[in-house]
Amino acid sequence: MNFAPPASHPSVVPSAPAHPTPVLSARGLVRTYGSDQTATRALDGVDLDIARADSLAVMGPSGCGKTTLLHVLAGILAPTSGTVRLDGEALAELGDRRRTLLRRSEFGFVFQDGQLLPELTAVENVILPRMLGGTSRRAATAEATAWLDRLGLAGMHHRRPTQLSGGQAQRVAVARALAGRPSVVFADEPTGALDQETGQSVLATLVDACAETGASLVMVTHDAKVAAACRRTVAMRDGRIAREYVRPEGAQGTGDAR
Amino acid sequence: MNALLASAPLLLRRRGALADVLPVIAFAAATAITGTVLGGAAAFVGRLPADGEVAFEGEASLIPFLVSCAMVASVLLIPSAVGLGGSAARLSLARREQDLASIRLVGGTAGQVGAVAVLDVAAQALLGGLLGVVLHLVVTPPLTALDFGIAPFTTADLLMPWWAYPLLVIGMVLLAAGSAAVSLTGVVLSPLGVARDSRTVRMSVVRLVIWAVLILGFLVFMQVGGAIFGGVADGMLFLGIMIVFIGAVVAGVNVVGPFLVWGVALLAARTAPTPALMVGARRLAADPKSGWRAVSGITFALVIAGFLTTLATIVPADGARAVEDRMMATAMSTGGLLTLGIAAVLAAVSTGVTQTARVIDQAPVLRAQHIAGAEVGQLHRARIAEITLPVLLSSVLATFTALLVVLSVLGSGAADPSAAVRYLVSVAGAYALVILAVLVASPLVRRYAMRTA
Repeated sequence: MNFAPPASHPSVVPSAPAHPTPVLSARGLVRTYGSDQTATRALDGVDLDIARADSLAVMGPSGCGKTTLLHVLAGILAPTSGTVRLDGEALAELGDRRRTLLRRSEFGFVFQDGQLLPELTAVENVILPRMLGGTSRRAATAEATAWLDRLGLAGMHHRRPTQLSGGQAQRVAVARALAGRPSVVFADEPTGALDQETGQSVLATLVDACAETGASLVMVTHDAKVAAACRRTVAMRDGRIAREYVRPEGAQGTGDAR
Repeated sequence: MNALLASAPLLLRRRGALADVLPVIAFAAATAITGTVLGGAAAFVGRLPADGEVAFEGEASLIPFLVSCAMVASVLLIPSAVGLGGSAARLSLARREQDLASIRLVGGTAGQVGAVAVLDVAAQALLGGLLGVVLHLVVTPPLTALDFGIAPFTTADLLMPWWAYPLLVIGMVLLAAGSAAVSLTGVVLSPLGVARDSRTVRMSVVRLVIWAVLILGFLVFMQVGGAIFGGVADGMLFLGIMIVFIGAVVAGVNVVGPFLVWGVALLAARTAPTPALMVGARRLAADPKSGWRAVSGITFALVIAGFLTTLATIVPADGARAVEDRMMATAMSTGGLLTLGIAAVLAAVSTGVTQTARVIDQAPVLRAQHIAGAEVGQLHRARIAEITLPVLLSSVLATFTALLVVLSVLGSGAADPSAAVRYLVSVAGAYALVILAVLVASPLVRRYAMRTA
């Protein structure tokens, strides 16, 4: 598998995290869909640690279980067996409401197609999760404005998603994910709906912003060039981690998975 | 073309029970209400003396006026019922857009796709129309218990002649097909998907100016019109102009309503302290006409009900025509409340259908919001905020307009606390029904938000 870097790449490939203690730790994850003869094992014994401020790309062909892994790590799906711990706290032992609150406060999400609310302006899309968490509108707007400016969206705060380009809308999604200063950002094919140049630009924004805020990044992608933006890459096959590649410090995303 | 039509049932996937059933429910409700209103109006017409003789006392002397009231109620309700049929057609079409784009992809021309879409909507309208006739036949017998002050109506009185029912169903099918065809002109169904115009909505302040001018004109006319026109044709010219003015002011509510919904929603969205209000207000500001449409019928009904219930309280209880006056008061009171009740049911069905359709459309966003930390309760509150704003505006507009008409025409002597209380209870009841209709889609919101795959 080739992990050659794209021409335009995040300015910094994140270095090894200063705190090797895992913020997120998964052990023996199994997730089965269906039952009896129709049962499909999407995850088949996955062990994974994600260190604070680290970046991890999850790669693999369609149906290998990478999106299921992301959902289980984020507490969206419960594993059939195995555990996921966030800072030592087992997600499976929490009720749905507590997990929802946890996702709001500790996690940020970037989806393939942004999933912005079409009626809301850019700044309102960013402040929405913060307001849901109880932050006042004024404080949330101040944070959101700073994030949008930082991500190159100055002057576009009051545009609706349909008035933004795909890349701009995805930057709004990045701002939304990071405005709450989450511990972990989950990104599911964040550049999948963008052209190559725009995708690389958005990717650089996402990786740089996570590195600056100290958020860990877990990114699902089928694109090796996108995965090369992360310090670690795991390749999945048939619900298992088939290979893992750790990019050497300062390697600027070069190298092959072995 | 025949081959495509033959294969259309295969290509048009069923979207799941609720998505397919919703337009049929709306068509059925529109048909049943239209049939019931027309049947009721016909029952009053049936009491008119056959030979055109004019009666001066007893029940017969009231019938011409009550027929006029029934006509006004019909004019008020039928457009709302027809509007519900049109909404159902648009809803049915919206459910099908992706399927229609798929038909383009496998070789269907724009004309063929249009024909398939219109036929699909017409088939649902036919089913809904037939169910609506059955529903009308079921609800009619209990309506004979209503007391209009005159001799009670029988079930046979309240039913339309047999030949009217096929016409009613055919009318609903044609309406649905026409609405679908018109809606198709605003959508580009390409082989690669569906494109829809998504310009930012702006409402012109001219709407507000028109209504303000109408009110000002009405108030000035009520002050000076009597002196100018009072002596012409025994005051009939004054009365005629006054009725035209009242009609224009009441109709103007529909002009100013969407503007006010838009303006208030924009203001609320920009300043909302809670996420639910912000989201609800933004959705409303993006489509204020749709938000207003949900409550426009009920607004008119509230204006009329306010006028009629006040009128009923000032009818003298004694005098030479005491019996007739009491009949008239009962008829106006029952008629006003019945009109309001039907309008509230129409508004509730319309709101329930529209909101459920919107939830189905928003399924991916609802799930994304829940994943990102929005609790299901917060998602519910945003939907309730979306309908609460038009409801509040509608109640203010309706009360203002009813007061304006009542005080201008009947004077401040019409102020009756008991009538005001009855009116406010009616307002609260009607709107509670509309807000309850929003909750119909709540289980769907929970299901979509918590869907795991």
